[in-house]
Amino acid sequence: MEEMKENNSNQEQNQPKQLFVNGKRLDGRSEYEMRELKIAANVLNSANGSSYIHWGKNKIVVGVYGPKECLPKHTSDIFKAIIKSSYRMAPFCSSEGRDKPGPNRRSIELSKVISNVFEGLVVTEAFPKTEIDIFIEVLQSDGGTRCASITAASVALAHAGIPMKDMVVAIACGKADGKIVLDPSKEEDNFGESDIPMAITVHSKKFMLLQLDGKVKKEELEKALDLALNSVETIYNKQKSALENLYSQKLDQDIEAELVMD
Amino acid sequence: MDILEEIGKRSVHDLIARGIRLDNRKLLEYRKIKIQKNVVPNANGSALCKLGKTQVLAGIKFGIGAPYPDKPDEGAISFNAEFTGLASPTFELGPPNQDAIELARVVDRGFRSSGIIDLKKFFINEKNVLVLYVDLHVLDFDGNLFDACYLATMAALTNTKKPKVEVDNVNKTAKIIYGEFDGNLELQGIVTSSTFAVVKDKIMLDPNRLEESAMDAGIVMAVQDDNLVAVQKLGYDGLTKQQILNMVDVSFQKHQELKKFVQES
Repeated sequence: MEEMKENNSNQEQNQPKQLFVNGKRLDGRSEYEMRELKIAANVLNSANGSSYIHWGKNKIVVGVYGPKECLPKHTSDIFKAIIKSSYRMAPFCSSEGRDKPGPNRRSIELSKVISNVFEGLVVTEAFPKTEIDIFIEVLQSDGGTRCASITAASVALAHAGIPMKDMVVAIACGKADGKIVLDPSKEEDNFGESDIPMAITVHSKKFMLLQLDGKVKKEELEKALDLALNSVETIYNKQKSALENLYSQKLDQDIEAELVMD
Repeated sequence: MDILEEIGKRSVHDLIARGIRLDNRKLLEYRKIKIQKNVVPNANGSALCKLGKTQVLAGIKFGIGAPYPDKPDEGAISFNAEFTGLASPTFELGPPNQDAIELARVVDRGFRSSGIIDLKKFFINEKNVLVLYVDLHVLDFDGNLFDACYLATMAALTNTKKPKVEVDNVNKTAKIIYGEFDGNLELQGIVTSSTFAVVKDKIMLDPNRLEESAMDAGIVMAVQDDNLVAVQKLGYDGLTKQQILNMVDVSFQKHQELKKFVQES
C-alpha cells in the first residue's frame, strides 16, 4: 500500500487520451528528440564539487564531498573508497501536492542504483578506507530525474577532481502510444506503457544502469538501447562545456540566474 | 572483511577463466528448483521456493483500503521483502535495508507491469477496495533472491483464495470475513525472472552467493510470454548492448522452463 501511495498518490491529473497528436508528442517534440538540456558546474561554495542541471523542467543540484574518512567505520573498505549517494526529492518538487520530506522506498532504491553506477566509474582503489558522498537534491521534477541526476553527478565528480575511468551520461526511453520515444516527459512517464532509464559510459559505451518498467518486446528494448547510445555524444558535449566554462570567463548567465542560490 | 569470502571470490574468478563454476554447473543452468505450495494455510496463498540452498517463503494476505484518487475503480498490490536474521550471518534485524527495498520493488515492478492480476476485480465500492499484500520472507540465503522471489510469488498467487467480504452499501464500509473464501484469484499468465552474473565477460545464470559477490555486473530480467516486464541492472561494472541482448534471449528461453515448475508444483 505504502509503495503505491508513493508512486501514485499525487497523480490526480487527468490521463490524456493520446500521447501523440498529428505525429508530434504533447510537448511538440518528435519521437527521437530530447528536451532542452543545460548543465553548469561549480554552483555551490561548500562542496568539493558541484553541478546544476536543467533538463526539460527538471532542476537538480548535486554536491560532492570527499574522499573523506569513512564513517561509521564498519562501512569502510580497506581496499577502496565507498560511494554513498543520496537521491532526495524536495517536498515541493512535483507539479501536484506536497510530498512527505525524507527518504521513501523509491528514493532509497534510486540512491542504491546511482551509487552502483559511480562505484564502477570512480577509481575507488586510489582512496582506501574513505567515502565519497554524492548528494542529489531534486528541486523540481519533470520525469527522468534519475537520469538527469546521474548526468549531473558525473559533472560534479569531475569538478571535485575525483579520478574516474570514464564519464557517464544517462537518458531514458519510454513507450508512448506503442512507439519507443527518447527522453520521455512526465506525462509520457506516467501514462505511457513503459519507462527505460539507462546510464552509458561515454567512451567504452557500457550500460552502467538499465532499468525497465512496463511491457516491452525484445526489438523495442534494442531500439531503446540504440536511441540512448545515439544520444551519448549530445549529452556529453553539454557536460564537457559545463566543465570547460569553469576555466573561461563565459559563465552561463541563464543558469546562474535560474539557480536561486548564493 | 570476510577472509573466506575473499578467497571464495578468487576461486570463482580463477575457475570462470576456464569456463567452470564452483558447483560444476553449466554457465546457463539453474540450480535445483523445488516449489511447495500452500505451506501456510492460514494465509490466502503461500509458497516456499528452494533455489539450490536459497529459500524464500512468499505469503499472501488481503486487506481493505481506500482506492487511489487516480485509480478510483481499482484495488492495489503491495510487496515487502524481509531479510530474516536466520537467513545469513550478515543479515541484521531492523527495518528493510536498501537491498530488501530494491528486491521488493523489482518484484513489484514485474508483476504490476505484466497485468496478470486484474486490479479492477478488487473493487468493492467507492470507499473500499481489496489490497493484495505479498510478503517475501528470505529464510536461507545463497544468492539470487530475485528469481527465488519471483518463483515464490508466482506459485503463491496460483494458490491464492480471494477473501469473503461483508459489504455495507449504506454506510459504505467493508470487512473481510476471515476463514471464509470467495473462489480462487484469477491470473492472466505467468511471470518469471532470470538473473545473470557477469564475471570476466562470462555470463552465468542463477549466481549463488559467492558468484554474486564476485560478479563484475549482473542483471535481472522478468518475462511474461514474449514481453519483458521488468529489468534491473546489478553490480558496479557496465554491460555491453550485445551482452544485454544475449541475456534477453536466454531469459525468454528459461521462461518456458520456469513456467513448468510453477504449473507442475
